[in-house]
Amino acid sequence: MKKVLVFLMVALMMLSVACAKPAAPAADSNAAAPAEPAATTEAATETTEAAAPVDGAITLGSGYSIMTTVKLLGIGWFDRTETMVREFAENTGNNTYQTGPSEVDAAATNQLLEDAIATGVNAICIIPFSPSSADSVLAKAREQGIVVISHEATDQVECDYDLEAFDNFAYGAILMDYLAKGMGEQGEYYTTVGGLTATSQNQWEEGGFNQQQAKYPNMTAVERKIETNDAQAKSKSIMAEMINKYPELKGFQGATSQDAPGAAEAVSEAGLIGKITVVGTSMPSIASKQLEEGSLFAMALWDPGLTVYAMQTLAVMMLDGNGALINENLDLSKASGYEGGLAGYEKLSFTDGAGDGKIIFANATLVIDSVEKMNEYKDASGNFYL
Amino acid sequence: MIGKKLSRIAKTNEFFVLLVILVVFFTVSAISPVFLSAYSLVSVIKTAIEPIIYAVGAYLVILSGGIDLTVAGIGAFSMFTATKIVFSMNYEGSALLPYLLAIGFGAALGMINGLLISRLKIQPMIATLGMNSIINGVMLFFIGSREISQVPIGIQTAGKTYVMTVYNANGVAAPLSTTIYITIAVVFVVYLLLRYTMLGANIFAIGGNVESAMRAGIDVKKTQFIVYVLAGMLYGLGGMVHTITYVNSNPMDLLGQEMITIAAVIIGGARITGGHGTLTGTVLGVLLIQLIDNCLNTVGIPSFWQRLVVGLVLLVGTSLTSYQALKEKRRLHVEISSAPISMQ
Repeated sequence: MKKVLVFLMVALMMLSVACAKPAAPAADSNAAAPAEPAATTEAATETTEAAAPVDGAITLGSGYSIMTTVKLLGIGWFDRTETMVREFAENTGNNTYQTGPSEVDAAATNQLLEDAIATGVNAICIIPFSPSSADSVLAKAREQGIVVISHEATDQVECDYDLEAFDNFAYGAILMDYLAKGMGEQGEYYTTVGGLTATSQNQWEEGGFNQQQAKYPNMTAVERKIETNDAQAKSKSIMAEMINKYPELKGFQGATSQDAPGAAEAVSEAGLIGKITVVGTSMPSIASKQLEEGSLFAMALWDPGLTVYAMQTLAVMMLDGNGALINENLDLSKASGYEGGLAGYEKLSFTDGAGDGKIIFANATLVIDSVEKMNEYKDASGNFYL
Repeated sequence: MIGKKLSRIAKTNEFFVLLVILVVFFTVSAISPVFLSAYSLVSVIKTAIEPIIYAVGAYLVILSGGIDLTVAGIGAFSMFTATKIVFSMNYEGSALLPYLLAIGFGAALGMINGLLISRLKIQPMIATLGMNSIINGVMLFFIGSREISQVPIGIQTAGKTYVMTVYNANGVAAPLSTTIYITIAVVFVVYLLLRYTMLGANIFAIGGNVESAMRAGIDVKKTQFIVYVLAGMLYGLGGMVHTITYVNSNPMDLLGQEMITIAAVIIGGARITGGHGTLTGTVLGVLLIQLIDNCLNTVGIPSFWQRLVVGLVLLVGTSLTSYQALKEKRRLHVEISSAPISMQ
């Protein structure tokens, strides 16, 4: 009975929050980015003005055909990118669309790329499952003058730019700051990754570990990089094992979106909420329960919708012949002309890519460590859009 | 008399699997003494609740001489669609409706499997491989696959009601969910079905030799059909147990479940060619796989080596089964006996 009441109350609270807010999810994301640890604060404070035609917006050409291809269709993460692909079309008058394989399959991605080249797209935005497998087809695209922008693929050889929401190591360090905060900067913790071959997840883990070594000497990693295979069930049973093996365990940092909620579930079942701090990459749509319950201390993520919007902006800038404007002085948040700006894309840093293109790092880490912050990511119907 | 019986038991596959389970358990405990506890035992049993249900379904199919690769497909589709339906109707009742819906979807999909295999005579492996793809495609494009973490209250409550809770030396709790009753019921019902009903005998018979079964007047088509429907129902039920256990409905969670399920059944002594194998073996097969899955981190085997270890166990486990089969075949040849197909 008590549970029913609590649930009803939570539901009521959510409803009232959802009703009280105007339905402008993208504008909300500005407010959510700031976080106590230093690294993220600068990202969001700068873009407070939300006037419709943003100052510093550059004129983007229209009528281009731009394809965005993602790793996998049908999952929430890429539903969000599709929304923003459509929004870009509405705002700029370009012909944009999203495709992707229905199963994780590099060959299927290549087929989609071949089709796009044959139909004569002007630009390809790609979030590849396997960057190296896509290189041969992307090379062909670039030979024909098609602009290629990639994401989550710092090792993409055949691209004009690879846009990353953040530097992976810096992102891991931010998560570690939260873990340290939860643990009182001391005690034992362990980390997980989805798989040892997932490059960015492993870099997040290493970024976190390095931060701990440098800044939190009283913390110890008892185990590192245990594989969860992206499964909550696995992450949960690993936590159950770890609690038993290390009686002094105080913390956990997870890499895939399933790791932290799984571990948090185990902490909750073991009756250790408040004694073990769980942080990790996740999304409100996956881990809202655990955050509300308190078994999850903080989750970090980025909004792939904003990234895709930024990628398309870069693509149009290049097609317009404004490629020279893409440098350290570019405020992509404003330049995009997106209402409310693209939080975290104000200051970009550039490094050499794997091929002749460059890698661009934004500073778009979002950290959610309270129910209030989390509720800012609800769409008009009250569901989390991230 | 008892000695003879014991020596017969000692030769069974189940005995081997049990032996391996005990060896693994005590070896791990020797390396890491914290493992030797009720806490670990409950932790392993907890993770076996759901896979045992799948394995019993897959066991029925394998027993009947078929194979079913739709374990993950049907399980994921049933649990996800059922959750989505109760979610969208703001259902606030008990978990009974979601369970029934999931079993219903499982039965419907199992029926298609059954029709393809029994009527159209499509090879079970091809039919279920295709069906698995179709189910995933349908789910992706018509229902979506965005995981539902805000599951209805009935499901949340069902996942958090416990039969008992054990504690380790440091007072850390390991609660055992009431879903264990479902697994026990499934095993019990299927045991009765195989042991005491005509259908059970028919499943063994068509798995042993379709030709003889047909000559004996067994309706092979009907039996095959029922087997796939039953299996589908069990996958659906298992899927809902998954959602209830993890208070989260994510179809991606079950990816690859069919292989580990079939492996568990085979390790448990069922022959892939059908007609042979026991329920006890299947349950033990699942327990062995779950035990290994739940102790590698305690022992401290790095993730990098874990796959190798799991692969080795699967290989050794299945070789044992085929070795036993080979030995029995030789024995039969020597004795030139025409013993009836063994049951249980």
